[in-house]
Amino acid sequence: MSNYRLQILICGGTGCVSSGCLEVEDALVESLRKHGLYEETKVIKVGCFGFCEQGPIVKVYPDNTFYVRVEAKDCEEIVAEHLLKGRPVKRLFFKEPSTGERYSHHRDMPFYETQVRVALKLCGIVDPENIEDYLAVDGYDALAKALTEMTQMDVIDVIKASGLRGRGGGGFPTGRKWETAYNAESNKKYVICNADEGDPGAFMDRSIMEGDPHSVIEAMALAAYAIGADEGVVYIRAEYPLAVNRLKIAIEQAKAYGLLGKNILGTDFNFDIQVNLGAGAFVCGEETALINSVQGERGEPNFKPPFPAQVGLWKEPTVINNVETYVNIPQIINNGADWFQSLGAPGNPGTKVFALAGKINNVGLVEVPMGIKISDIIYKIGGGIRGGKKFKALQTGGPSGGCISQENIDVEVTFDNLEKVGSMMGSGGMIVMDEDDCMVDIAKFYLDFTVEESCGKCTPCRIGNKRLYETLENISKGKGKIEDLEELRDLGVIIKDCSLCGLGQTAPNPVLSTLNFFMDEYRAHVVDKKCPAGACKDLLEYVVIPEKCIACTLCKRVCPVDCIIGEPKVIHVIDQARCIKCGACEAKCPKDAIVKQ
Amino acid sequence: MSMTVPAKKITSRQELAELKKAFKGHTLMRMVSEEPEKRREISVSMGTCGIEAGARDTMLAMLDEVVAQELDDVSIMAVDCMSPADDCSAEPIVKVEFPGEKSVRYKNVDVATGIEIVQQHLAKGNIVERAKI
Ligand SMILES: Cc1cc2nc3c(=O)[nH]c(=O)nc-3n(C[C@H](O)[C@H](O)[C@H](O)COP(=O)(O)O)c2cc1C
Ligand code: SF4
Ligand code: SF4
Ligand code: SF4
Repeated sequence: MSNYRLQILICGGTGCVSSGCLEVEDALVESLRKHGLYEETKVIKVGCFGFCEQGPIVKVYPDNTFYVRVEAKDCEEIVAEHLLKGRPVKRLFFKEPSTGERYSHHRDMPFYETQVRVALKLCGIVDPENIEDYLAVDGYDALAKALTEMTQMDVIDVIKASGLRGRGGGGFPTGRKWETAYNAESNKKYVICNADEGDPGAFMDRSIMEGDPHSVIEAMALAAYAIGADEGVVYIRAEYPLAVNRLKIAIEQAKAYGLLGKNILGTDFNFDIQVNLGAGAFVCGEETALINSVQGERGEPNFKPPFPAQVGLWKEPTVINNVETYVNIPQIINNGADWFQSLGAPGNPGTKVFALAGKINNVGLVEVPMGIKISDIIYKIGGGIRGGKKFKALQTGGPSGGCISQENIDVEVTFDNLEKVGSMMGSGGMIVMDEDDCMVDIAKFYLDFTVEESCGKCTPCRIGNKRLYETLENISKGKGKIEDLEELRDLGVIIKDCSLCGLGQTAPNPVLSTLNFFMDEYRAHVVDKKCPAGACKDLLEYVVIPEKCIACTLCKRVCPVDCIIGEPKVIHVIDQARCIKCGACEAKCPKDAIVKQ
Repeated sequence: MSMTVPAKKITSRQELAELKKAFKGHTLMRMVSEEPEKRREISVSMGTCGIEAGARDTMLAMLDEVVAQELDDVSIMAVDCMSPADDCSAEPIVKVEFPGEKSVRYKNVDVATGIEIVQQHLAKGNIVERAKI
């Protein structure tokens, strides 16, 4: 057997493909050939390293050097200097924006230091298109252990004892769900993997499937064994072509090795998986709507109970779990329930992957132990607010979630705590907002999404959310009345109480939570007709501060509608009635004498 | 990416375990590197003079031996030239370092000596005195 002296890992996740990793791969291979290193070097495209903003990322082993923002033109230097002569290319090391310090190794970087990788453990380490890599790192050991040493109930007991809760948003205990399906009388059962990932800000499920598809397959096989199912379905959105492709390759390879199919590992356990492409409606991520969609019906939710674990796909008992929930499972079987309990917080064991975005220095996919403080995510991992601005809110839970304000910034992130402060875990979107973000505008943004995605089956959700949206729009245009605020709250509560599925039940959350924590901002919009963040265009005024104006006439000359009154030596004034709020004058003024307020 | 198409499906846990052993070399380097504090390191001097003296063959041979010996905490790296100025007569130079211990340097490490260093020093803890600097 020949071994490689060097291994080069290139991030081949969707994010890095779009920032040019394929060109980098070609350039690397060319330089390796030129220097006669190609035979001793293995180049592998792996899944997401999480630090997408710094992509394409290239990792060099054995030294584990971490290069960021690598371009095709950098590859010759990496090969000639680093690979051939052992001199790493320092200019491609990550530079921490707040300190200017450079890091050669990802583990020392503040972005990674606080992270704990369980769900993403193998993402960016194994070759997702080669089952041999997965087999080399404990792959399918958990399945082998379960099939040969454990009864179905043993598996369920370990998952129950681990305290694992569903990562798809609800936080329901996974072991209990499996037990219900196990106890359901039927000789046909199913397992489903929910890879719909409808939250527009989230991409952890995609990254897991792109980077470590075999963990998902192994976990589904474990679930199937535990409940007595022999068929599995992965429901994945068609907009994830790379993930779909890697998943299909992985399934084929598992079949070739006999790890899927009949009589797995010589036992009488049979299990097969099919991939089902979804059209990408948000509501199809809801489990009963998803099941309807798999059956070829309209993707509309049904009333629960009965729950899918009792009456699911084709009316048979069905376990449906989220991608991130699944990938924890082989490790729990291998390492034990106590190991999992030792991570995270009481009642909320393990880790959670978040997609960190917004006005923050380091954006990307981060995996942290449950119970970490929000402030640690924002300041330690995220590197603080971009441009030194002031933190205003953290939006979590996507369209179903809410905004967390400064007063709750030290809250420890768990399913329960986030709900206590009026938001939720959801699928793990985290968007940081700063002083320039208007909370009315944010609430409007999310509501626009849910109004668009409502399936229309029930009135409170279909009509009620539309009304909420219209009221918010009026407020942002300065046409709001003080009574509107009370109405928003009342209507929001009614919609939550009367909607059939989780979409309607959570849609008002962004409005209710911003009303709770940012009432002053709403008041400013309806009473003073002002937007304190300066985001709602209709409420802005550009004004000249007379003390600062030197009457240079520059603003007057750039104004497209000629609404600035003034002449040399006369302090300028803006005619508000005609101003179109284009901001050109503000940008031009040499003395910063024009401000928006 | 190439995958060895299996001759037949795996039909027992035992077979799975054997097969996995054969693939260990694929990922060993990556997994070892994830835990630097536990890792033992072999550094091979790869300046121009080292390469001329055969350092690359030495390195590849040592690497194969590490996998053959199933040493799963060892990483092998190319490093910049370790020779003193103007004196390349000791190349290829190899340094062996265990965490928290003083490193040992070897000189004129050809393929055979490289393999011996892995078998003796890394696998058993016996320093190869004849090549030690
Ligand atoms: C509107 C709506 C959208 C949902 N979208 C998703 C989704 O995209 N992915 C997901 O895993 N769960 C989603 N869920 C939650 C699922 O209904 C279900 O609870 C989950 O798949 C169960 O798996 P878990 O216990 O592993 O979290 C959604 C729920 C609602 C109400
Ligand atoms: S709450 Fe909304 S999305 Fe859910 S079933 Fe009713 S109308 Fe459809
Ligand atoms: S550009 Fe500024 S300083 Fe000049 S006239 Fe306009 S407001 Fe005054
Ligand atoms: S914002 Fe635009 S339209 Fe209004 S005064 Fe300035 S330049 Fe003129």
